[in-house]
Amino acid sequence: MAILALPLVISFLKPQTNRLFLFRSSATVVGRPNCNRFFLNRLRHFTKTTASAISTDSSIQQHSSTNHNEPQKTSVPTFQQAIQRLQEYWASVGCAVMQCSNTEVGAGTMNPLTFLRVLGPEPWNVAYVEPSIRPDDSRYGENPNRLQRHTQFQVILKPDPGNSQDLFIRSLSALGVDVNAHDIRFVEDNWESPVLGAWGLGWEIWMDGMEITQFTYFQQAGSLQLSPISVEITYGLERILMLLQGVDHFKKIRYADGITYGELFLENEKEMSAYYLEHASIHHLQKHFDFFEEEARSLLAAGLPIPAYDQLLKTSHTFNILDSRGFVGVTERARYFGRMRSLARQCAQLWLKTRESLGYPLGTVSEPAQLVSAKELLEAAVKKEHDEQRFFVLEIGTEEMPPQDVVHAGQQLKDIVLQLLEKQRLSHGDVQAFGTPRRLVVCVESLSTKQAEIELEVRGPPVSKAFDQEGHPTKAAEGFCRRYNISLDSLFRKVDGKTEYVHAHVRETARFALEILSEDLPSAISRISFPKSMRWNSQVMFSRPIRWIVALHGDVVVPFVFAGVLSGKLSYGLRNTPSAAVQVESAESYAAVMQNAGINIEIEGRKRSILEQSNALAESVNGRILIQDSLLNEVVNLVEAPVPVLGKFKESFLELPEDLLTMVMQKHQKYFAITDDTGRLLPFFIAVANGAINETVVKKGNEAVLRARYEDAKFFYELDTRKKLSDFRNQLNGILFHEKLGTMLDKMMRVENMTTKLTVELGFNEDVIQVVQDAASLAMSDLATAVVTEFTALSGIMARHYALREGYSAQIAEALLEITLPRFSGDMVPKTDAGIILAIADRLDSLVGLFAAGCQPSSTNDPFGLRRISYGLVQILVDNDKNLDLVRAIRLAADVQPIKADVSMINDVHLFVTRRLEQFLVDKGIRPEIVRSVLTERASFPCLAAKTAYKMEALSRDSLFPKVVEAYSRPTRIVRGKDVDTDMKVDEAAFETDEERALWSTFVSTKGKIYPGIEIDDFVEISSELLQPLEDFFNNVFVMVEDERIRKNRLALLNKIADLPRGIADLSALPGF
Amino acid sequence: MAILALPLVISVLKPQTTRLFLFCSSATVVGRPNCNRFFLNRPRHLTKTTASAISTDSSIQQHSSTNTYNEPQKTSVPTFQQAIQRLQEYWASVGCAVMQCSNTEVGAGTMNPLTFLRVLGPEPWNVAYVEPSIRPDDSRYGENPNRLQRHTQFQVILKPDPGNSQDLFIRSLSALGVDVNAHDIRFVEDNWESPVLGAWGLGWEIWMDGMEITQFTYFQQAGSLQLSPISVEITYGLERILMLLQGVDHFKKIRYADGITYGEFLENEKEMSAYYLEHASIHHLQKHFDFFEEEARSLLAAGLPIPAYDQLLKTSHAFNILDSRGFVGVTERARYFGRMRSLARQCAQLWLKTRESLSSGYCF
Repeated sequence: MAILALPLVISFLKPQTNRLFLFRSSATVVGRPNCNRFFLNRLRHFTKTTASAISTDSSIQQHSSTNHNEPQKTSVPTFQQAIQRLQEYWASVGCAVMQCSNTEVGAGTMNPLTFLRVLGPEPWNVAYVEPSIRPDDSRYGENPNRLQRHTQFQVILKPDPGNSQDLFIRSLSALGVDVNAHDIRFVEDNWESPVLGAWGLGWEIWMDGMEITQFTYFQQAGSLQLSPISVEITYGLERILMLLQGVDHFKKIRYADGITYGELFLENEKEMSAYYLEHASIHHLQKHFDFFEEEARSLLAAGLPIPAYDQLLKTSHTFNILDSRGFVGVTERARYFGRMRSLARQCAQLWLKTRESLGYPLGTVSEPAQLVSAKELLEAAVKKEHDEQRFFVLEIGTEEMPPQDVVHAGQQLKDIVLQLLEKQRLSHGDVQAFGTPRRLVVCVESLSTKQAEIELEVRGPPVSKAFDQEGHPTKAAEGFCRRYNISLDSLFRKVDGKTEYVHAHVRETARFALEILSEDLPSAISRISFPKSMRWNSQVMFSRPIRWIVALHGDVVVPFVFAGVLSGKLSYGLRNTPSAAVQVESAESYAAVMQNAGINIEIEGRKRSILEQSNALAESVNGRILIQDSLLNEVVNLVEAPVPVLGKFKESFLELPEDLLTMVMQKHQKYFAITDDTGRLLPFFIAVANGAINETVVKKGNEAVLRARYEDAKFFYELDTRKKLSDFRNQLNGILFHEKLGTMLDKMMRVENMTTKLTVELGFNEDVIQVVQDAASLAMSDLATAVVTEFTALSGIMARHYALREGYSAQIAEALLEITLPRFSGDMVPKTDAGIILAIADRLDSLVGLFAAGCQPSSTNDPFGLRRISYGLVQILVDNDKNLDLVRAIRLAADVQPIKADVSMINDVHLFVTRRLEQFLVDKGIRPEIVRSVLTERASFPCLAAKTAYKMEALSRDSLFPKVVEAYSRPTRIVRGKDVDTDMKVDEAAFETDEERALWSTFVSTKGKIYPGIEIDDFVEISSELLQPLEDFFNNVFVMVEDERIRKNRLALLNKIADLPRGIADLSALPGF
Repeated sequence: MAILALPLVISVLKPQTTRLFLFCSSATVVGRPNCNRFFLNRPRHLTKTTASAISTDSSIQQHSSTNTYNEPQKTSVPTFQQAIQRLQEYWASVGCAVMQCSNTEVGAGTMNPLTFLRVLGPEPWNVAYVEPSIRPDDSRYGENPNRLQRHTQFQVILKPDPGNSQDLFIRSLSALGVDVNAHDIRFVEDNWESPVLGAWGLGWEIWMDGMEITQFTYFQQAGSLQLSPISVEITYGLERILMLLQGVDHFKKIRYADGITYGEFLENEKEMSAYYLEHASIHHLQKHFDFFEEEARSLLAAGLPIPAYDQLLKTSHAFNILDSRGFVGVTERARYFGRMRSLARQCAQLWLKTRESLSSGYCF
């Protein structure tokens, strides 16, 4: 990659010179001049390398590449050199190098040099080191990767220069990374700061599986839309240096010559951690927060955004300490966030005003002017157009899109192009969509060069306006003819609606495909929609920035401009290869060009290739890959040229729980795990790298990352297994559930207290109670374990593991996992008795408690996930066929709450769960009216309701059911609105007709067979006995007779019948009622 | 001055390379790749200079002196950011660790724990860092050409005194691009004392052609404790030096980087001055001070000197604002000083104890 050669040089040169000098002068011996001779040689050697590396001349470059290995090895920077190299590199591309914030910030983003400067139209390019303070990450220096004060290197490029990704990759070269050997990837990551009212789209940048940098296109800050868009690049220096220096703990990083990071900062980590986690005074902090906030407000009122923002930073740090002390509950947190966000918004607005009043001293950025007009190009292109049908290819080249976008957008693009071709009468052959993370492609075979000609019937003015009273054509008629270039004779009359209009047959001219595509493609592309899209250089929105467009019909470019990009023949291959930029000569050759560039544009093709290669690799170690479809589908669209790499990890790690091992591989690293034939994990993994890489380097890199993660996990695991699971129970005291509802320990005590009664309510045998009690006394304790603190997704799984390890029964262990189920939609539900009881108790407690604490979800906001919790509750009951009386169960949970839950609140909870039950049943494919009908009567028994709904859905397709519904509808309708006392007795003596008597006796026998909880099919069956008597009754008996006694008696009889379905279903909600 | 020849080379060489690249890419045009041709020649030239300049062989040195001195000297007036880079590189090259500024407001680089705590005790320590120093009392709304509430110090600590600190300093001026043979550089007596930190030292203001550009101090005491070994503190006032080097008469005219002047911070000066002089709430500050002090005391009781010192820095900043608001009387001031000095002493003592308990600490 020729473009990489240049900046690589600068940095190579300087830090090396530096290092040598450092080398010479050992730390305390400052400036001794006695080792010059040593230098003489070294420097000469280096300068030679340098000189050659600098040139862009290829012959010299070759020379330099032979040198590659050697300087690479020697150029691992110290921490301070890394900073220096980055500073020099970013200064060399035009960034001002500035200083860190004077007050604690949680990230470089919060420094006013970022937050305030990304606002408004002025350009801004800056780089600075930011020691970022995150009290929550305090680990006393014991966690190898986590520090309360870590060092970010922050770069802001505003506006986006258009090649930020390349600039970043070059900065890695400047750091001394051989970017051609490593697997460097841009993995979707969207960033949001609720405090700053800011968000952006971008990536985590991975090097051999290790996240080293965050890359974000800022969309919003201070709740304001940004224009122009800024690029933010944030290097995590400790991580990068650990990787470069190959050390496994931050304390081992060489900071400068002769001094390590640990020597400098370990004590700082220990003491500051102790402060943040143990000693910080809550009372003082709360006061500080209030004062800082008040100060910020009064400064805003005084029109001073800069000091106001400074005070905001102080509130934020104060909040962070409060949070790390564990004294901020979820609702409290939302309130704090709201207060800070409001300050941030006002600071941003005021700052913008100030800059405006200063007249934007740094100038303003305008959208790039288009130098070439697509129109001129089009005219030239049309002349080149040929007559034959040719391939058409459209390739939209982007920066790395999220995996799911590649699939969805590709499909959309294909549909949109198809529609376009149909609408424009362009005949064509097969249309296919392809995609990789960096391109969306649609290929059309045999696209005609011209539209098919057609004749259209066009409506003109009304006849009354088109001809005068003498029947002569008016100006209106003449104008119509002129417009379509037709003669007056060809007009004919036709009625359209109520008016008669003149019409004409118009031959639509056949235009060139080239013209049409050139005109229509921009709007077609803009119709592709994404779950999340962004702006970068204009108002155009897309998943990620578009950097090039190839549009070729045969060998002619279809010229158009979209998002400031002019379509052409130039495409881009893998960054680190000779085909980084490739010319596509014709649409027909596109596929071959991509293939030669090593890129597989077919999603299914990549999938096959990954599977084949991975299987082969797995077989080479006598294993098989553990394929998770979702993971495979993701990985396929993370790479353009998949290169599965087999890595190994130490066998001793296999002592860790398999769930833990595979979770880290799959979720964190996107690796495929490998098992033997019996399903036992083998100490290998497969990472899928992208493109031309040095496999040995990438393998080693990924192994190092996994080793670091496993060492980490092992450290936590060993920490945990030193204690008993029951010992963690009391630590739940330190985890706040909700400020009004106490800690997780309080919560689990409530759950424990509920279980016995709940067991009975659920109709379980009492001998399950002991298991439930034992499990309840351990449940959720794993939340306090180190492994779960670190890998939250393993909650439940670790509890089961630790329980089994300590010899608890399988029943208890399983219940410990099952209390957490279902964790997400589509997850498993608990199956064992104890698991079911605990899972229900836990959900009831959350629901009732949080409702009582006033945390009901709003239509847009459900911070506690109560919808998911209720849905899970319903699912557990229905799937396990557990006929729980919901209202009684809710009361049971209400009884154990620390805050009083009144009747109306219990109703609210019930209603809320019923809504979820409704959704659950509709999701199962039952018609909404049936669901409503059942829930009106049986919502208190979710399981019964579900059963009823399923059966009613089936019954409703029978012939009998509609008859029964109709039969009940008549008495109901007659009784409705009449003065009928529901308690009114039916007086047999008042019957006058046989029909009445027959109906009554049928009713009595029917009524005797119907009981609460009866199945709907039985009910329908029994009700069918009423059909004939009812029919006879209505045919022969007049209800509304004058005689009040008889009338009321008849109404009472009908009322009894209308009441029969009560408690079973509200038939009036059904069609045909 | 033969001894100057060696380090001069390194530094003169390196900033130039940097500068050249800056030159090529103007500030807002990030990373245009079209100036390759330009480089092709230049680095070759530079590398030649390097190779020759570095050698101690006298014949080559002569060659180097004709080559480097006059020509690069003239072209090497640094921007603000380059000056920092040159100083960092220079001091790194003589063995200092280059570190970051304090996370909380400090009135001077001396207050950064990297100085105050590290000059205590027997362990060697060589460090250099930039310190944006906040002095509310110097708030002038950006109108005074020489005074800022936030000025930038470049701080160097050499512990123990290497014996040639003055020479090292003069070489650093060369590294900055000052022709030390042409200017009148003088060490003028100046004794330094900080009643808050319980610290004092003897040394000089360093004058260049009559303008004070740097403070040079042999620390004798810190946290009311006698120091041994003695540390050398060198504090450059960067705004002053850069105004001098660039020949401008107001800090706002200093070229910070290519295309950006120091005037970009003018609004910051204006608004922060307004805050410190007019708007800061006395009541809140007094409360803050009390809380920070209380926190520091309880941290000391818990045996945690580092966070305690952090709280002390916060009291100091709170005091400085109170002072700039004119709400501290003379007796009051003495009381505040006493409170902070007592904290500083205890932090120092506790820190020393901690270092001792970590036994050997680190060895150089």
